[in-house]
Amino acid sequence: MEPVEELATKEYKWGFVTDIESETIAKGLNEDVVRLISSKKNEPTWLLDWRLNAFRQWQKLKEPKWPNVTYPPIDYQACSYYSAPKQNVKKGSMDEIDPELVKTYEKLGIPLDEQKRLSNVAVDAVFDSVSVATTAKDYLEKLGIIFCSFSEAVQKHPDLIRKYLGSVVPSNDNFFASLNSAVFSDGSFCWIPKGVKCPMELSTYFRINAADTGQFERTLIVAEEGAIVSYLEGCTAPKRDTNQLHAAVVELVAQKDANIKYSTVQNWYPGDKEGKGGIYNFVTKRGRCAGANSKISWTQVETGSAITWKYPSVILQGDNSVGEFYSVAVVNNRQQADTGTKMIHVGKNTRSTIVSKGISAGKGQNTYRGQVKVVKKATGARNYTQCDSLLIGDRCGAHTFPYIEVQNSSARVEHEASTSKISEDQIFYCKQRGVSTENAINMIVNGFCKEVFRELPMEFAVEAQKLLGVSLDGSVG
Amino acid sequence: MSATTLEKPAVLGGCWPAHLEAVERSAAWKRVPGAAELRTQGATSFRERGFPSTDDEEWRYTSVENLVKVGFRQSLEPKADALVANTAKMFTFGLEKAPRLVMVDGFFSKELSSLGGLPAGVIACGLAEAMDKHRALVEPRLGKFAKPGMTAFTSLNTALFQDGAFVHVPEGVVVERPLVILHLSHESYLASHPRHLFVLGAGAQISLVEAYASPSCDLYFTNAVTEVDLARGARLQSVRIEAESGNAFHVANTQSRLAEGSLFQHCAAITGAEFFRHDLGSLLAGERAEAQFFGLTIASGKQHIDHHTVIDHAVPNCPSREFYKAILNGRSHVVFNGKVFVREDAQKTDAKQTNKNLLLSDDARVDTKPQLEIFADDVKCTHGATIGPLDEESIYYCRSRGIAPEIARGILTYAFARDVLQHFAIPEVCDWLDKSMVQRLLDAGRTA
Repeated sequence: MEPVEELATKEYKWGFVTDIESETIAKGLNEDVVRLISSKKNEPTWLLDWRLNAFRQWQKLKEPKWPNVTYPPIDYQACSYYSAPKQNVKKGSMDEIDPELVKTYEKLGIPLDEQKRLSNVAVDAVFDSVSVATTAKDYLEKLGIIFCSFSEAVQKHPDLIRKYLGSVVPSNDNFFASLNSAVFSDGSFCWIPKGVKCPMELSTYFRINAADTGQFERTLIVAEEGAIVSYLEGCTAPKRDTNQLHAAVVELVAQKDANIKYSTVQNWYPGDKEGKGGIYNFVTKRGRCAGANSKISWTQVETGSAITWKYPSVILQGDNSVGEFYSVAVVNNRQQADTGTKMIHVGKNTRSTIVSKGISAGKGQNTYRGQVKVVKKATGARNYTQCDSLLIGDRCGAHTFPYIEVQNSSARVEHEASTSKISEDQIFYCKQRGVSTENAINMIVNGFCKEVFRELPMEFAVEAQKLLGVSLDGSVG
Repeated sequence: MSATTLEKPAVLGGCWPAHLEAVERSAAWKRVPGAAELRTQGATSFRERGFPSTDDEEWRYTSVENLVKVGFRQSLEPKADALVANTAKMFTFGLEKAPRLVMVDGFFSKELSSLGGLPAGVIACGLAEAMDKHRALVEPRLGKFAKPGMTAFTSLNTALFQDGAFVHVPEGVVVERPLVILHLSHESYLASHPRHLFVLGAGAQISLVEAYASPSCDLYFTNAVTEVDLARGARLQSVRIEAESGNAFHVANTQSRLAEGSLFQHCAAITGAEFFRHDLGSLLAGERAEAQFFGLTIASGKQHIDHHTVIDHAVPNCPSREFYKAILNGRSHVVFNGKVFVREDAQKTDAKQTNKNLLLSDDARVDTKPQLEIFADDVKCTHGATIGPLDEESIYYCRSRGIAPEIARGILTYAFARDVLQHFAIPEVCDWLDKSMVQRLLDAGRTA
């Protein structure tokens, strides 16, 4: 397998730092910090109480030890919980945003300029702890769609926030979700009114810039009856020697006949070859199919982060509701990923599909952990799970921990898993036909992930394929 | 996942500390010569860790609460009566003339056993006797595969065992006829801890039937530990038959080490016991060693049946197969947890695991966790799990050919079971199981 190892190592090209004056609060975490964040955001009292309650619960919770990942203990007092770029008090239009920020996003390939904006995508750009710009807002407003930063939503639509915040991921759900509930700084909020089909892709782009800070954003998407929305999430961070914590919470609510599609291309800085630096990506993502015939679909391409710990889940509460999870997770060098999903079948005739593709290279450790649960009253539940692993090199690991719990005799649950490697035969076949080794591997890997990629929106699918090539460079053996 | 360490105070359970103290004081502590050190390790480990709770990943779906709260008695001396002799005759499993090693409540019974007809050099006797007479064979192996602190129940067994079955087949000897190892439980509220050790020399072959049975419907507890050591090219095919009383608790741990080119086949047919938990593990320590596990569970009533398997591919070029099926009726709960480890450098591993569950009742519950942990790249590993009811189309097919729906369901249920039963090693036992289970399966289909 030597030829395969010869691929050059490409650099993490999003690893630059933006030199921008920012306001960062002192390191450490206590009730005063929670109050400070809340006051900076000018939040109503109920939200501060909610945060404080979460903080008190967090103090009682223990950091989970069950994920199949290892990392030195995190000192939660050693990082800053709020960092915001200093800019004009209120951004009236895009022109008033610090040009440094606009440049940063341009460099990342996310133009914030309305004229140059990505065709048919509305972007909410989150820089460290705050949202710096949201594009296409006016256009969406005409349709009654609310798409803005979380802080703005708290001010303008407090009733909606109060109704849905924590309704899917309660503030005491788990250690990292509680931490997020206490100190979350910003994020995106999206509300699609009854019967509206969102005409463009909504997107949030997260960027960690400041050193020694954690990013704790919160995304809430609510699709009212019959509404349809497709949402994209992207993220990058500079190259640093120290590990940074990213503990986000994403909540999705789909009412009757609603349809939410949530796609992620996660590309946080993965650390260097020796595993130094990188982002700890400990994220809680959950959707609730609250109404009948609703559908929530998660698609994720996980290529970055030193450690990934996330399980985008669906609670299939409404009758005939549908949950989907499509995932490609790539680990290279010393990256570790423990990711998967949970499908909780509660309503009648609920269906779920899980397709997980794990690729391990270098010394990476990749774990699929998934739960399919059919409760007693969930008659006619149907689940199909497929999780495949591709191993590249003999020092990496692929693990699967599926939990299948069925309490209803009419349920049909299938689980399949396989593990394989890129065989020399396959590469030989390609080379014989004039395809270079590098291209052959790209082709094989892309073929392996095809089922997931075709679920991604067009622009993302192209991006994801490229990203995959870069992530695996220098590893293929 | 690595073993979860319990941070909670150890749950020691009502009667067990007293059992440990009684044994430590009695002559029974020294009944098996040379085991005192091992016993101390077992007792210490149990006192430190106690029983697992459902917070423990390995016991997530299996609560030992009901078992722990029963006040069991322990027996420190063997006893025999005429009734036992008669019941022993009842259980032949289709092997009327085969050599038999019979144990009653954890003690080897010479009177009930008939060990004639075994080839020269083959040893089949009680473990206590073997420790005395064949110490060189026993001592280096006892407690080495099923380590004293492996699980709470193995700790208890190590501290409390009185006897068990010992089988040694020397190098190159092929035993043609299967050997039956029958463990009878006879007294209610008695806890027995049989300890078995099977040792096969290079190229040796034997088929074993390891059966646990009771003529009664008593409540009792069997806590068995079996250790298997296979030398180069040895072949051990075993069938485990669980025909315990419907009120019994049965916990077992079987651990095996397979040297180069050896084969360990373990087939389990589980119908009895209200609570059953079996930890079955194979360490593939030599190249081309092969482990094959088959299991058929037919659960009804309030039965709780838990299969935990671990196949550890430590070296390259080893195949392994697992095929487990369960049929659930009533309020039964079946758990399957199958782990396959492929260590670094264990290239060319070929591991396949299948778990299928048929749900015939609305109150039944299945929890399955097929688990792969792979650290090598040139491997072929697959696992599959399915849970579901009978296929309506198949029933329709039968009905369109004039078969009544309840009979169609019976036939399909039987076919589901037969699929795994046909892999069972010993043909006579396979036929016996087939016959004894046909009616049960047809009935199971009908009540669905």
